[in-house]
Amino acid sequence: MASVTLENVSRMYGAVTAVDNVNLKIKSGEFVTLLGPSGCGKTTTLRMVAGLEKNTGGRIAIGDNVVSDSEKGYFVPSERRRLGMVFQSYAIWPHMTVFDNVAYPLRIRRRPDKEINDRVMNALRLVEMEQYAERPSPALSGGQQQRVAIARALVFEPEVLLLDEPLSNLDARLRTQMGDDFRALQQRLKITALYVTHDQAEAMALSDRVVVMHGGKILQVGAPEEIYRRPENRQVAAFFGTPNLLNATVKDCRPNGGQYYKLSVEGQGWSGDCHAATEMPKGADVTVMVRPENLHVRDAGQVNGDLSWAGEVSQAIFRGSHRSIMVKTPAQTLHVEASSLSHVDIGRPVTVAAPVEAAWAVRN
Amino acid sequence: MTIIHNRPLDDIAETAPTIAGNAFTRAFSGGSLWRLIGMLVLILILGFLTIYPLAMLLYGSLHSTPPGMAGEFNLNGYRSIMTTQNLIVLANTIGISLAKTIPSLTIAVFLAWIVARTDTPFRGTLEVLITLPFFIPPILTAMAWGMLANPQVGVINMVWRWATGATDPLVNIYSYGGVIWHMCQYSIPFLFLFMVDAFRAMDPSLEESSRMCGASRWTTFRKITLLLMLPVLTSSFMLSFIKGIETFESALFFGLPAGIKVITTDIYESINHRATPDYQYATSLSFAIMGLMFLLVIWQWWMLRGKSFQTVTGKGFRPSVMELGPWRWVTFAFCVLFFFITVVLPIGQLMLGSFFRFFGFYTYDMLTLEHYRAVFANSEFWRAVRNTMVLGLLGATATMALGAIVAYISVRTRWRGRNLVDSMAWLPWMMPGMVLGVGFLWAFAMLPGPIPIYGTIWALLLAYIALGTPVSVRVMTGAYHQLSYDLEECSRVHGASWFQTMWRIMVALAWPAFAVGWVLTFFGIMRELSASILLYSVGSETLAVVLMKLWANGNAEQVSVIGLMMMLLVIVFRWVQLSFIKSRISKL
Amino acid sequence: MTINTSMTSAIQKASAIQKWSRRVFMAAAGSLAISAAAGLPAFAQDAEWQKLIDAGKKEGSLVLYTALVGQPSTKQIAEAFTKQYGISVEVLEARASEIRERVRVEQAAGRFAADVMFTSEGQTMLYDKEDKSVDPLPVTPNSQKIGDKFKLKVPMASVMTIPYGIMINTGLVKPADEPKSWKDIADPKWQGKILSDDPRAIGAGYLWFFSTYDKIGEDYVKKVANQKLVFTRDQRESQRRTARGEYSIYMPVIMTDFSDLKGLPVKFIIPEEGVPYVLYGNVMLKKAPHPNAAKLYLDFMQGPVVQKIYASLGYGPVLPGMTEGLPADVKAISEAKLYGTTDTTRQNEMLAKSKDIFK
Repeated sequence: MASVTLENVSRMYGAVTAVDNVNLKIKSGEFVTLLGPSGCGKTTTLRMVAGLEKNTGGRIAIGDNVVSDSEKGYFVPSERRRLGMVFQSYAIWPHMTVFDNVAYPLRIRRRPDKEINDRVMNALRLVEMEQYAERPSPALSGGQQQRVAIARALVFEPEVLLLDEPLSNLDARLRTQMGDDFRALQQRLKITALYVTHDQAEAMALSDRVVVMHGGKILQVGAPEEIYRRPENRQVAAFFGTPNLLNATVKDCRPNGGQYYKLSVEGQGWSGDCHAATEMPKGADVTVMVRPENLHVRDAGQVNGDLSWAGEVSQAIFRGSHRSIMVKTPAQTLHVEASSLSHVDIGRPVTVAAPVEAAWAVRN
Repeated sequence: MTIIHNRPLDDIAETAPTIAGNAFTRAFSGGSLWRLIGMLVLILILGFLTIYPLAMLLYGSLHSTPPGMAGEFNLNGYRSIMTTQNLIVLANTIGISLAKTIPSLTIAVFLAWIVARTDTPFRGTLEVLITLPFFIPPILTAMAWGMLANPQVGVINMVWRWATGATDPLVNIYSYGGVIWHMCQYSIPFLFLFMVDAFRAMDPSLEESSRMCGASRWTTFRKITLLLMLPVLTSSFMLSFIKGIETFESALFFGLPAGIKVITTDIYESINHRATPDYQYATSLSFAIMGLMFLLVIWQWWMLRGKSFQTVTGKGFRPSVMELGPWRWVTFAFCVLFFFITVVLPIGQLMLGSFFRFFGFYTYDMLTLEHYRAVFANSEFWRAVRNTMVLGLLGATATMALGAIVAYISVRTRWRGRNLVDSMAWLPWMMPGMVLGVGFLWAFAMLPGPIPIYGTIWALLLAYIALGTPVSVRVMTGAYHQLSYDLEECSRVHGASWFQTMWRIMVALAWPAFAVGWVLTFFGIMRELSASILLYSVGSETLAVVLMKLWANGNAEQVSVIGLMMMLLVIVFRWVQLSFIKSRISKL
Repeated sequence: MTINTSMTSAIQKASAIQKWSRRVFMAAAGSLAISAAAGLPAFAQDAEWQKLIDAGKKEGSLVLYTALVGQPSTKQIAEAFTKQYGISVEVLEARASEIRERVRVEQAAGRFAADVMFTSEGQTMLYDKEDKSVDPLPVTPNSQKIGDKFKLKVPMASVMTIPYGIMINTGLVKPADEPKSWKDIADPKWQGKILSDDPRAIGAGYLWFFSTYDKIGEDYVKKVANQKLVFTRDQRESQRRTARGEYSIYMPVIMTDFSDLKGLPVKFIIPEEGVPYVLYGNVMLKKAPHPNAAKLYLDFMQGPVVQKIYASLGYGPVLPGMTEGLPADVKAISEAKLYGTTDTTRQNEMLAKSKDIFK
């Protein structure tokens, strides 16, 4: 397994920049996810690594080998990059059996029959599809096709495994299950994987690191939890779930002894403490992010947290696993995820509170 | 944090670019230089096959004498075609062609849908049978229909008079209707063959999802099925319409007695029935028509621009069919009726006639096998069969290979020049056969002496490839339009070169279309006369030339014997092909 | 078409043929003493001719282009020629306009592939005047003996005439009503019952138009035009259509086809005025690769062997006395009075006239 390095990689379509100066290094055996809304350049980036598209700027290396250098006009075509790839549509060739599909990368490389047979059956066993080997591929269900696609991508032990939204065509339950299975497989085999998705939950659950992209640029790279809890800017913050984003002004800033800084901020009708990644000058405008699941609804006037807002309940929706409560405060309406057992009446005055660790400030 | 901000990749040892593979794989997989060379080679090949003969014809249209004779450049040819008479003839021609293309396309679409997407009984057999008329030389079906539907003693009219007591004939083949009907006999099976695999390859989930959205069967057919078939349908329409403008036998046979004139009979006359063949007139007229038809091609590009018609996705299609319930017997009856009218009636006539001394005189004492004996004992016939088989096998394979490459480049790449190769491949279709034949003659004969093409079998082969390329490109274009890019890219990523991908994925998936195109091209070669008669040399007679000789000598019965044998060959080819498809694609 | 006999048998026969050809030539010289005065002294000519035969045999083969498509007689004649001289004949057939364009282009490109072209008088004029693709005719022993009216100004060695007449369906036309002459065609009782080759384009119909227009007059042609003729351009299929009863009369019909239609309810009528005809013959093409063999072939086609073959098929021979001993019906057609033919120089004018009259 090899690392993947992207250095100043860009892709222009005429005057339109699809990928803009992307730098990224994926370590050997690491699972990295490119995450972003559609049109953010994540698929283009993946396709450039695959060699299905040529980068118009920068260079790409797989392991110790540069595979594409736009300045030198050097380009290694896909077939010589030793990759495995799972397509969104699975790209299962309908004229072949399951076995033939999986055996294809080996047959192309003219391996002996014995070896082909062993490795294909091994790969199929990995994805628990060995009993379907002789099936014509159109006769498979979506989940089965996906397994075949993974087996095909792994069968010749590629340098890197590329996955382009492989789970998006599956139904919700199957998606979670396949995702977990795949993560387990990846960790067992120590495969370097580059994964593209627009589904944050998928990205969280599978990745060692997540790369958030927007408008062709990388916004942030980091472990899922870090990105989720400590986004670098408002866009990243907004991308995960439906966080409450509050405008505020910095009153005071001091190191909190650890990695971060502790801020005192003041917003419209509220004030309190929160954390930030960088030092901020007094009077700077910031956005404070508080995730709905970290907010608590208490009776009016009851303040024992680090941050609190007074308001009244404007809406409550039962969602099974939790209850979405909208609280109207002078600053803005806050979204709170409360236990589904809690009972709230519309119009009741309440206080919404959050611990200081749950509030994260980013520069506007 | 492992983002490397604008720092060189120090830790990457840059390996010297090792370029593996041979020139061919590089041409299509690697650098743009090799791609450029590949493109140039392709353009040169197409240029030689299509532009060069057309350039000779263009010279002929602008020069007072044909190539090789002293003369001067002038526009007399183009001036002489600008007559009101010609305008009327043109309008007439376009009218006839539209009048045959629209019903042909409608019926062909319906038949293709029945055969490919419904559970109509015996559709496998019907698929082979309803295409048969296409493979019979047009003079034979013309003769058969002349016997069936002439107003005086035509069988249909005799039966009609006997059954109803009427004195007026029911049908008259020597009329506009007759001309159009005879053309339909060829265009329906052609279009059916052209489209049926596109229908078969379509992912039914696309249709099903429409049904789920509340659309009726008919709306689904109209809004989804037909729309997804747009590349195939527009291609079909154009191929058929343009061919309709160039069709000649039907108009000569059934139109002339009724005073119906079309452009091609005019061209034919200017070459064959004037004191001196007026090539300047014939070529000018052909180019004028070609110009008009090119507008159609542009219209098609415009129609299909920027749309996706990928119906074969990597999710794997399940070629399931629509269950029609009791209606399947209605569709079955429709197919049988079509089969009876277009196949049983004329071909039955030919078959019957081949066992009697004369067509149409079916008395016991005229019963004979002499026509079969005469054909089988004719050494010239066997030599022509040998020649035609070699030319057909080589020609159809080469044509389809060329067509597959051109179609691939024009549909599935963004390479510069792809529109050029696509339009170059269209050109031969837009030139009436008899004029193009002359173009090949001029082109090959006027090559510098040391290039030994004229007078050899290669001249025929090259002409056949050029003539067949438009259809092969259209067939393959339709097929490629339907394949999703993933299927191809997936192969590349997993280690297959461009050529391996072409062969193992693209050709393998487009194989049904490829096979149909091959059969169409093969029988196109078998029937081709205009160019053959001008390019064949002593000893390289083709079957079409032998048929022409037999026909000219009045041996219509022997011609039918050969026609029937050609038909038998079609059945064998199609059967092999269809059962092969069955075993490979639809294992369900 | 390549017809070979083994060279050994050819050599064995060579001396016999030599004797034969001399005998024929001597006899001919005797019988045509008057016309022979124009030629060289007999013995000198004989020696020349012998040299030609030797040279032709050395060439060994001959390429013949023919515009008379599909005729079995072509092969028969080629075989006879090979038998006599041991020279194989390769035949390439195509329709008149196609074969002419091939020859023209081949010569323009410097590919001189063909030696002899079998074609019509009208086409020869084009080869000679427009394309300049033919050589002057050689004087050969037989070229002197043909009928004077077949000795042409254009460089074509006449071989035979194709006669055109009237064909009727005997089921539809009572013996009493049968048309006897071209004039009878104008009888109003035939209105709508005549299938005719299209007179508005070069072909048999035009030939009929040309000769009757010249010989009978415009009024007659106009009267026929009022008969609501149905036009066609397929000779053989039209015969069948008439035989099947679609029309009572088909005209003008190639009279020599009568033998092919034996057994069908049709009758071929030689019109009283005579038969319009097309004269066929051979031309020598420029820079022929086998010029001597070509000369031998030209001579052979005018000789009794070929002339008898054509006469026996009903064609009009150019050598007198070839119809002896033929069956009466064949003899009548073969000897039918020649009525008229077309003139290439007036073609454009006459075609325009035809188009005007027959709309």
